Amino acid sequence: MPGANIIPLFVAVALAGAFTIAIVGKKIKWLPDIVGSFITLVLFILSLLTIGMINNGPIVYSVGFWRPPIGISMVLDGLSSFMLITVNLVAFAIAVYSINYMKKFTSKWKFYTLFLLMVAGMNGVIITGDLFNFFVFLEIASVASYALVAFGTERHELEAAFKYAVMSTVGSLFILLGIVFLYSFTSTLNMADMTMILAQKGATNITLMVSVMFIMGLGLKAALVPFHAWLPDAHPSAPAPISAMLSGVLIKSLGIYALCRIFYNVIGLSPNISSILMFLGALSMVVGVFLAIGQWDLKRLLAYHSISQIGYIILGLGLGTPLGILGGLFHLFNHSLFKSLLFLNSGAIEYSMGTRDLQQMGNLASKMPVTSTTNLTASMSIAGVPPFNGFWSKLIIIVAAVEAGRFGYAFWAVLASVITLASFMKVMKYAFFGSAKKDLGKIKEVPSFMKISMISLALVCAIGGILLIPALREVFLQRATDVLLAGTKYASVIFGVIR
Amino acid sequence: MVDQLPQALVLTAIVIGLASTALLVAIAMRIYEKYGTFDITKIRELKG
Repeated sequence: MPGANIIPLFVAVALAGAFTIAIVGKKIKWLPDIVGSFITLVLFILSLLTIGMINNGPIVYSVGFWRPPIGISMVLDGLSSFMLITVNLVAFAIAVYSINYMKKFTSKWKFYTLFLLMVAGMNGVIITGDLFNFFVFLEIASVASYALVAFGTERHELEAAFKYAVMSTVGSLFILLGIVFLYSFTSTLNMADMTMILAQKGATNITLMVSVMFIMGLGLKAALVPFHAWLPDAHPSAPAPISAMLSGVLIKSLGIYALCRIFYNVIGLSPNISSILMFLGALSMVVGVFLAIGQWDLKRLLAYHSISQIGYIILGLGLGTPLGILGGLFHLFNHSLFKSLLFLNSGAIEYSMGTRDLQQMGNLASKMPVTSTTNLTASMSIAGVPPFNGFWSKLIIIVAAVEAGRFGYAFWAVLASVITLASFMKVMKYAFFGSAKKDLGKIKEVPSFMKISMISLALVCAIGGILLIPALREVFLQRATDVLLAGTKYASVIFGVIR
Repeated sequence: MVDQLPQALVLTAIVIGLASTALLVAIAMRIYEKYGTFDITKIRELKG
């Protein structure tokens, strides 16, 4: 199979970068910055190449040349390619931003090692075609993220990291238990093989029990509302690039991508699961936004908005209609861009002012024009103001909900969007406009690498809507949507490639 | 004959569990340095 050999590189390159930095980063001070940015750039370019590789259907790579279902396989299809581009684009922007931002922390090399380990874990989760391998990569990404949340090692960071680690470990155990039950039921771990056997055996109580475990475990990773308590503590406590990484891509690749892959392609989406997902999505959407609007800590406010936006994505995906899935995936892509941009902006403010409290800011637009303009773009995107990207994806989700006859959910989606707009107007008023509460004499705009990273993310946010143009939609969003729409036919597609 | 696969899987899961526990213990030690207690009713400065 031509091109299949680049699939394992998504994990291998990131791991190689992490270990290079771990070995020599302590001695050579300039190396971690260069390697961090270079490795993520390589990964981003590789992920763009995957678009061309899957023109003729998915590609399967067998690790160690053991043919599936015996060996571990890695599968690159439309959905994987879509997620890889999202993750590696955001990771690259954040690596560039960290060059300046992480100066105020000691031992930068530890940061980059953990960061690249997390990227390796996420890429692994996305491309693996084996359920146990999926669990291993999920744990690599999770353990790296616990350490990164505690990176500041102050009181709040440690407390948040401990809480996050305990809750997330419990979630992982539920996922492991679900995988164990599935293995004992089907005697295979290959996802495609498992799909076939599950389809032959029909619906049983085992699949129901396993579904509940996956909703608990993966719902906890994705921070859906009954399982969200760790997120508003963990995301604000991490250093800003890591908050951006966690909110932007970690909860999506470990949570939402895994939920989609397992429920659509392996177990098969039953109407019950679909309504549970839609209900949890709508609940997260509304609860998240109501908790967000009262916050005065900028990063905490953004963290609650992540819960709310995750709700939109799950609502769109849970609808199960072509339009709903398209909207959900498009919102996933958009949210990873504008939420990481917003967290990078909050990091820029903290870098210059040393505070995250909205009540102590004011009139920053005069001193920090780049931060304020990019923050305005991202706020418009998340609030759903046309023509920014967030508007289009929210519009598609709401139209899809109306089309499916779910008027109640459509109403809640519109309401949550209005409150999102209100709370970001609050951010703009208190942080960037309005009167200054402090002496702004010493406040300066952030250094150039931080500016470059924020400006490039803002540009993608502003023009993100062009991804809906048919020519671009075909290669990017539509392929990912088709994978989920095919449902359990995923198995025959994958086996068609192998034989 | 026994199925060998679960043995390999359990071993992997144990290794992962060890890594998580080691990290949790390390974080707990740092928490004790900062808060001077392990009493969870006193370690609640964040509201969740």
